[in-house]
Amino acid sequence: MLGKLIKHDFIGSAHSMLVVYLIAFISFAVTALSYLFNIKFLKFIGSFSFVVMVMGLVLITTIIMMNYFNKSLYSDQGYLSYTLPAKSNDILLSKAIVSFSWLAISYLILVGTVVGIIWYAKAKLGESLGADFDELLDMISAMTSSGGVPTASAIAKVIAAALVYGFITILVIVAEVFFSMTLSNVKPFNKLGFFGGILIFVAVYIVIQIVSSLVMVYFPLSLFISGDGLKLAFKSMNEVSNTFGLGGLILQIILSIGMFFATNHLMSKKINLR
Amino acid sequence: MENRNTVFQRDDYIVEINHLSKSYGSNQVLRDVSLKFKRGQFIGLLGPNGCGKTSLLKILTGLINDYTGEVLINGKRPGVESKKIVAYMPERTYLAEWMKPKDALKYFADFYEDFDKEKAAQMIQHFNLSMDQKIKTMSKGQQEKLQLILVMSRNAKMYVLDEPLGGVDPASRSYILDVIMKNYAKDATVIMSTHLIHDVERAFDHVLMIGNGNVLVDTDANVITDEGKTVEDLFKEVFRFAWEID
Repeated sequence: MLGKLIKHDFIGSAHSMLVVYLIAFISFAVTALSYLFNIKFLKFIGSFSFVVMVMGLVLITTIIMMNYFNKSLYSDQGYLSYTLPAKSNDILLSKAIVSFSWLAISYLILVGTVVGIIWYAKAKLGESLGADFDELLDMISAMTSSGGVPTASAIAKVIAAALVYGFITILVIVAEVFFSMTLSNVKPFNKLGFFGGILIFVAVYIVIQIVSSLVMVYFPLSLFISGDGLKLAFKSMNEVSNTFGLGGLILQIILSIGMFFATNHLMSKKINLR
Repeated sequence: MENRNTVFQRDDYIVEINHLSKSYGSNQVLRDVSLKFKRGQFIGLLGPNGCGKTSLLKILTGLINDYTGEVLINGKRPGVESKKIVAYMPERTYLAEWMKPKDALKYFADFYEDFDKEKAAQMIQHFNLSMDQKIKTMSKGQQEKLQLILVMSRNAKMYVLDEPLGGVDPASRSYILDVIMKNYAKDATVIMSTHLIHDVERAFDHVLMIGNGNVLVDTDANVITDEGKTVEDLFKEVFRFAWEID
């Protein structure tokens, strides 16, 4: 059942997401053509729309996921979603996997575009692209204080840490979106509508960011950036330099799991479709 | 009301409701309701607006869970198992706007094991609906017809139809009622809420009238006709009285 839910959630949300990616691609194509054929008036319009589109991609994806979640569960479509022979946790998990996937794609496009623009700008200035790779190795080398070329293990650990950080960031956004939209459909918040869901999301997002930042700095558990790459240290970021506090991330994981459970509880026990 | 000459076993009932109450804040829409629905009957659920009909149907379909009392469908609480055997048509369009009938058919075929895709395709053709027209461009009546086709193409044990004739023109009502009558599995139970009693009362085996959250009438249709009345006559009689005491 979960597989079928995921399939249909992908199909249902793809209509909006593919339009967004298509617009981003057209902006990119217009920009590329304007530079290739030196069409001056298109250069500004194309570049501006492309940069705005890509920079706003994660935000646009988040809003689309909010709307999709709200529409498929709490509008008239909810009458179908909630009468499917599926458990509410499967319905929630399916939407989480699909939302996570679209957000991950948007983040990858954003990162890829930023890297591409930097490399393009450097190439135009006559700087070697290979120099950037050397710079990256130097940066990892400096981070790990080992000097010289960092070991493959150190590079792998840094990349793994960055991926885990990215994974948790997206997970938290998805949990916040689902929790906020669901809460906005439960009394007494249900009078506020979709806009109320966005307000709750902003409030939840800000509170979690503030609390997790404080925990990150003061909780005595950190990733110590050492000569061997990364090591666990039972000291706070506040006490030792060259560390990255893990308390905030752990708190965010716990809160995300809590928000998923709370969402599932509200969905199965408290929601009264209008 | 049961036929008193017949002794019914527990298995004869598809739905058993005991002491069901439901409130929205201070507004109690169902008050200590106890009912049983026999298998294979066509049940008319009647009552004025806001009397608790839709809430009762939402509870039966698992859309409302915060109630007190006991509700059993085929012996189980509303949940995954009951949703497998209950085909539900709400009074609103529950299909996504981007969908076309062909998408809706795939959707139902994927989720409901009892869905007969070929039968649905034939009915779509019969109703002159296009497989490629987006739902958002259809009229309210066309949307209702499509939903009815999807629901009636399931070989369900229970059909829950909430105002299925509300959005269709008078000329189509009789035709749609025929579609319902001809297409539900014969051992299945149909529960239909409607305001258009005159158009559908010939279909009812059993009549349930709810007012102010209470069951006011629970009787077989032939008991009403044996008294020389129509269901509509009884409805007017009951609700004139009910509103007077309200």
